[in-house]
Amino acid sequence: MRSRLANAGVGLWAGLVLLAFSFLYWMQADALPRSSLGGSVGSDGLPKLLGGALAVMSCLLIVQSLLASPEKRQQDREGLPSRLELLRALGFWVIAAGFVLALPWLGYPVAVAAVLLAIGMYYGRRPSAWLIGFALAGAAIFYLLFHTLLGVPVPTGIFMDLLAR
Amino acid sequence: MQNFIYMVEAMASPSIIAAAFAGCLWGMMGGSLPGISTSIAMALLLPFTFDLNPSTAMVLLASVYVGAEYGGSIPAILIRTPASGSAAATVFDGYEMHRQGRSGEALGLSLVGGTIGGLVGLIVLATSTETVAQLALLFTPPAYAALGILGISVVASVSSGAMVKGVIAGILGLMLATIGTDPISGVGRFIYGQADLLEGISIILIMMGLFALSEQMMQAGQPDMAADPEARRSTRLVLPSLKTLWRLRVPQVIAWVLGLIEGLMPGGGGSVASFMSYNEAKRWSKEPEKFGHGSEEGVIAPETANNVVASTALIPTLSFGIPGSNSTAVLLGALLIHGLQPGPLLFARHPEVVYGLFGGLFIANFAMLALGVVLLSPIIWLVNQPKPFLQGGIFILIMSGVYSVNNSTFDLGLVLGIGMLGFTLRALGFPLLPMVLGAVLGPMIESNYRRSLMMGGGDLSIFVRDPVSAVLLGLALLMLVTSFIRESRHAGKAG
Repeated sequence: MRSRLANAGVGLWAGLVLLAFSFLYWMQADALPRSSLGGSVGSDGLPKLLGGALAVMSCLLIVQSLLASPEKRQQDREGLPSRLELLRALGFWVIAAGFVLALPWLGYPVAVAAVLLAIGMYYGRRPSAWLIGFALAGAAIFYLLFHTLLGVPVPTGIFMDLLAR
Repeated sequence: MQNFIYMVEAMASPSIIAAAFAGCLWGMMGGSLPGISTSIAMALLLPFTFDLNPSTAMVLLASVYVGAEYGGSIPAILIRTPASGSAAATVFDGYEMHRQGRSGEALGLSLVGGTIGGLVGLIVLATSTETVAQLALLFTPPAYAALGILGISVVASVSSGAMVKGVIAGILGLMLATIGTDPISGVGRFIYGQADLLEGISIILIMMGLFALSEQMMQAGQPDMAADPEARRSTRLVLPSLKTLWRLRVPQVIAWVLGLIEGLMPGGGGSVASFMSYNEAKRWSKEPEKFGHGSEEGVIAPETANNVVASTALIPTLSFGIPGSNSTAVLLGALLIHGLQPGPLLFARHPEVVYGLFGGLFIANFAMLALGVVLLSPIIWLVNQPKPFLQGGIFILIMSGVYSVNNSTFDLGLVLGIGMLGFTLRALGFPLLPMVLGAVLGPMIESNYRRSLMMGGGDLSIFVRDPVSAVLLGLALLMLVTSFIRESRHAGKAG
């Protein structure tokens, strides 16, 4: 049993996390305020049902991973991304998060140019005139498409505000 | 006979032909941009229709609808970014085909399958609107709720070797759909004081995060400079031969039937039909193992279905004045603006507008084919550019599309969070399709579930007493149980 627990790996841990989440979700659903307009089920009816269903399915996942054959467990482990792949994926996510945080301050055109440059460099391009030109042209095209043509009120940021003065 | 003449007259009218082409082009452009939904693309054109005659105005807007339903599949196939819910099921095999250097083939299948599907839907629309519309009346709230549950069960049960994970993903999707203001009681659920969450999480944000951003994170893990070398081989559109279309007749027929049924019912907007067609095509396929690995059937089935719905969704709109989606609601609004009251009398009082619209839609389907042939090859070339440029461009397209939904940077943060969730689930082997379907169908399931219980005085037996609901729930249970037994046997043999 001990070796089964040690080897159950991915499915077991995913099942345990989901089981914990299902309890948390159920408790949050239970804490929802009641309303006389809610009818016989109430606003917490479906969420509680879903919390319960997730708990049952999480238990099934745990049992399944404990009973899985060694070949299946090996297959599951091989399907996981390598450490390098994981780090590179997280790196991309950090660049994306940086863009989201900088967008209101830098404004759409500047933030777009900066992120195009950053992603280009993240994929191994050196900061050449060609890459900078691509970033600037990309920012201009996307600005024209979304702001000018489609009328989306994109964030202007400090630079555009200064220009407007 | 007179109605047929109205249709032919419309098809020969230069203004109707111009409206069909213009609407289709605008729809394809709008539909292919994430965040610019079909209804937004239609709404943007609405002010320009005020001065047009009613027939031309209706054809223009309905052609946008047809074009946008197809346009959504272009980014789904080429950059794993479905621009609408109805294109989400195309992602799996369409994008795989792209990675195998078969983008042209995938887009060709989608284009021709969609055109044929649109024409089939149109024939049903033109010949039997009044009769077929009666079928919609069989669907009561319990049946709608059961239909949603069946949809998720079908998708989860065919998640290759991972039925339990598929059901869990479906439940997580339903949980995402519960965030926001409860539509019945007005209570805010899981919003934690965030005003931006009051309206819930838009389905487009969920799809962008789960599909598009998680794919970008996966791609970042393989940082080769060039675009996928296999994908680069494909630079032009390849239309399927008649032989190929005949070989793919089963998934197309499945999609016609399901598209017709969904078109009659308000709610899914093509999503349910395309998801269910994908799964039924897999179930009936001689090569189900190819699904998810670049199956032609996996592309043509959902693409045909969502284009059938683009025509058949007009049946309840015109017959009863009940719009099945936001897009048909815009069309309904345009009818009212032009002084036309939808309903059975519309056919008697203004047959020239109704049948002129059908004639215009006929042209719009051919316009979609012609525009696709001209535009798709340059688009394929564009997405085969080196990764440093392509990934940056796709990222900005996703983020700009997401921002344009509510003009909110909060939404961008949500997409980042959902993207991380999608990446984690994919890495752990959870299928994302049931999760997306859960989120799409969640509001429909919940509102009909609660409405049913109100009708039945809180008694759950209403779901069994309603014959349509009982059959649908029975099917859902049967699929899950058989799938679980099959999976357990398979695991036992492997052990």
